[in-house]
Amino acid sequence: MPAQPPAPSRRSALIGGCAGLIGLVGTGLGAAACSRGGGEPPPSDPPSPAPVPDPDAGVRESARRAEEALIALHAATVVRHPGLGPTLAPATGHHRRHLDALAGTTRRPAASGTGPTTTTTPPGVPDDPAAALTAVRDAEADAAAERLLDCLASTDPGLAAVLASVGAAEAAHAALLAGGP
Amino acid sequence: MSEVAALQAALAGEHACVFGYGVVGGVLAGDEEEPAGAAFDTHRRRRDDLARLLRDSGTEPVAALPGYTLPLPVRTAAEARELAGLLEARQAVLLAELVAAAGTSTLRATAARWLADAAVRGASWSGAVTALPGLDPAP
Repeated sequence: MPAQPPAPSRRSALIGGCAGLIGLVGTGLGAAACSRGGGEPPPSDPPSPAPVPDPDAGVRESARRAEEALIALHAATVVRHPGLGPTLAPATGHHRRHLDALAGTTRRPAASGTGPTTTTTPPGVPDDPAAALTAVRDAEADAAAERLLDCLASTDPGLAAVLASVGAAEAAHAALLAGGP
Repeated sequence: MSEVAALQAALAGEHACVFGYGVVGGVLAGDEEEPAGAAFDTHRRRRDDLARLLRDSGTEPVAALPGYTLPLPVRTAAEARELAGLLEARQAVLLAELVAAAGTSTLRATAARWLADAAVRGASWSGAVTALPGLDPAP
């Protein structure tokens, strides 16, 4: 059974890229093998294969940024309306765990030089507490829909399950903040 | 886990949910009767959808068990809500596994939507959601 659904266009492009890479490596090895014909000592270190790019890097990154944006929105909302702190605290904690879960599915550590997390511009928070809460609820609902799309785009089944779960939590946040089912 | 095994596990879970919501619906009254009935109908539909998917792939769907042991006594409305929340949390685990095991984007999308539904419905019964529904250990 194929364990890796969709993301058709991007995926086939990447597979094409990998095939090209394998072709190049093959050529390189062939050349090395030919050069050994003259009785010279073999090279001490065979060339290490080039790292295969992570096909899910874009999906992970967009999900990570979205979680950070939600955390920033929660924080700005609580600064403007401290009374909403207890209401938002559980969901804020969940978004931090979402970041951990996304990091836990990373195939390789991020390349050095990506630096610290992007600073997210503090979002504008409505003056009215009810409107501010509605803005958070809408952001949670939007995030749930985006994570579903990310889930479908993921080539890694484990990452797909994490993204589906993150989206499910956000859908539930939106429902809870709306005051009921 | 293979797709067929994940479908069978999700189907077994739906059989349990149908049984469980039958109990829940027998206890809840008033305003809570309608959402309990709606949840019962939803799980029955999903049970049928999963059985059809299995049959279409040439697999005999698992049958419901002759009986189920309730994880808690259900006599009061609070106990019925607790059972409903438990059913959704446990089904969410099976749906997350189905997301990972799905061999087509259609099935993955269906499983992911059902997982979100389970989280939302579970939250409506318990008033809370865990950080990672379906991945956090179910109670």
